[in-house]
Amino acid sequence: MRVLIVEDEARLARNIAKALQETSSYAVDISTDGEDGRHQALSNPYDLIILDLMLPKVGGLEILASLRREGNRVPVLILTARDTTQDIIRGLDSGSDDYMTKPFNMGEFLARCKALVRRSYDRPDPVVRIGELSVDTSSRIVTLRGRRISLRAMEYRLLEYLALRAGQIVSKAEILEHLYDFNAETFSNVIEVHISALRKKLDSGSPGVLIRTIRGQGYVIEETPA
Amino acid sequence: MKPLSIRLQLSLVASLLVLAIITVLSAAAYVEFEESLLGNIDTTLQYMGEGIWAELVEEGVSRENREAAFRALTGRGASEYAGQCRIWMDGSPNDLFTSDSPATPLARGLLHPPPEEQPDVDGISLFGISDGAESGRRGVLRAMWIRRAFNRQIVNILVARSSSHVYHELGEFLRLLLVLGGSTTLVALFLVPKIISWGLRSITHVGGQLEQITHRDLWREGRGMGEVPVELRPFKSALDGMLLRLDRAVRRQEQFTADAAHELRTPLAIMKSTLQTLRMQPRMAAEYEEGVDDVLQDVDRMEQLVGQLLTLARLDATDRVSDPVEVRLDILLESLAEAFDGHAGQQGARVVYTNGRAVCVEGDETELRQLFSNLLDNALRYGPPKGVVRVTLQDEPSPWATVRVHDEGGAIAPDKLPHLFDRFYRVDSSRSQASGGAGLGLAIAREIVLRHRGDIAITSDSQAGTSVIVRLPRK
Repeated sequence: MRVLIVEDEARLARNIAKALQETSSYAVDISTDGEDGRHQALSNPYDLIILDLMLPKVGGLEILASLRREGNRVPVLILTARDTTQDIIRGLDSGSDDYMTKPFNMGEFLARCKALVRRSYDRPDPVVRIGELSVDTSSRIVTLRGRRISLRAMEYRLLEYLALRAGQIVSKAEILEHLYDFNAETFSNVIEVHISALRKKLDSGSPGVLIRTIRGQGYVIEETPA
Repeated sequence: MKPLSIRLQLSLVASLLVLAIITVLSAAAYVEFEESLLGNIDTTLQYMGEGIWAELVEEGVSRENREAAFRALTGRGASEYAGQCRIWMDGSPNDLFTSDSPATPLARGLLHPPPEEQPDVDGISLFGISDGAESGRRGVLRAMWIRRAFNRQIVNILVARSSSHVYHELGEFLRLLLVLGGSTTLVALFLVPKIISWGLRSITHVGGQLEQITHRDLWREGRGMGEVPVELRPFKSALDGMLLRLDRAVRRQEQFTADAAHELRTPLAIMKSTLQTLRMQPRMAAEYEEGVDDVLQDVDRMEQLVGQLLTLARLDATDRVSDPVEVRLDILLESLAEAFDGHAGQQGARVVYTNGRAVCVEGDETELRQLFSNLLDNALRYGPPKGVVRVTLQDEPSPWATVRVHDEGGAIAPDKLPHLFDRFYRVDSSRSQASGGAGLGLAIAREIVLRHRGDIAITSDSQAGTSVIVRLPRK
């Protein structure tokens, strides 16, 4: 999952980014002014945008309006120090999905972020099950036939993304866009490397879970036919 | 004493006025009516007296003549409204003629005319004779006394008519006047308050409108206060003006509170997020150290902000410096410039002070130091990284001490200049801490200048840089 944080307080943005990366394995981009934020939000396929309202150059509500005008459905969480009821109503009525006021509790904030992402993939249950594989997106615990599988951060990120879109063909470009932040250095066969590592860890007998390669199109995760 | 209501005051005044007018008019009418009624009787008496005299002169004073003359003049026989007559000679004990028996009340009056009314010879006198039986009603009889010389004797002719009908009519008239006057006054008492209420309805209406106003809704364009009469227009526009000013003040205060809350919350939010992120999982010592340093920086920022807010609150509490002393402005500026130069030098910037002469102002030294510190701080912050900040104390004979703090920073848009002294205002609408302050430095500076009865202005253009000019009254 890839998140954009538009927040002019650089340290706050960094803290949020760190928390999202550490607890949710999200890829995070940070933008500290409104103009850059709007450009980023419109040009990348984010899974969630954390938006401050009072920003240099372009205000948060303006960014939100541009996004929704373009038909962009990305979940937006407004995180601001403006805490009056009118502000909250205006924020939600402008097309945001959630509204939090500063100072905030990091745990609650992270939980709201995960809930917004689940909802946008139409998976209200935090545990995604594919055959005997279960991926708990809230605790990041993956089990296969009741046995816990330990994954590296990038492997989990990839598995979670594929699992949320289980049954669909996911292209390599989509994976790159959703799992890596703007500054990540990717090399040409990075996806293949992570896919093959995942396959090894999931392939422990039948019936299992299969990550199939669809030539020229991408990958799909599905139950191994018995 | 509690002031009476306008309605009551006006009602009382109007009613008293109506009462006075009615009383005066009634009295005048009464007197006029009485005079005209008595005048009628007097005219009749004069005709009678002169007629009898003429008959006497012509026909002699035989008893028949006298009686015939009297009968001819009065027409009918003795009745209450008919005249009475008595003729006698001075010195003679018996009357020459008496029209009636001495028993009637009229005749009693004729037999004993009041001696003080006796006219001179050839003169006449007119008077009222009170009737003993009906005491208290004066002038029941109206009489005329003629004394004329006749054959070396003095003849007295006394003619009289009853005037009781006059007083009866006057009594009726008076009753009519009392009823009319009284009822008019009563109607006035009842109507005037209504009329006044009707006249004051606009005030009542405006009052009703004012009652609806709360501090959240002090002023609204085109509030439905309605049209008011010409007399109330100044009142209404003064009221509108006051509401507008109050509204602006409340809005400013609300904005200030919102801004202050935002400014206080933001560092809190950062500190909280830093600490919570640190606690999410076990970390290396270096990470904790970094987190502590971050929090310390945010605490510093918050401390500075709280200090500024308290300074503002203190400045707001009073209008004037409490214990002004003489302050050597040149020494103060020089020492400040030196201190800032030492600090700025580490970043390659410079602060230069020019002037030699002693300039004194009256004020609070701590506040003045704060004022120029804020200006220098701003100049260093918004000037170019290795720029020069010049502090000039103008040395010319003038009642003002003029200080100019100049930096080489870029131009500030002209439309933003007037707002620079607003609390929490920053040229960039964001509230980020990239440039440091919370936007209170210049607001505090302005408060201090105003307390010292001075003024402060700012000019900016891309060529000349930005200058803040402070003028303080010279000691």
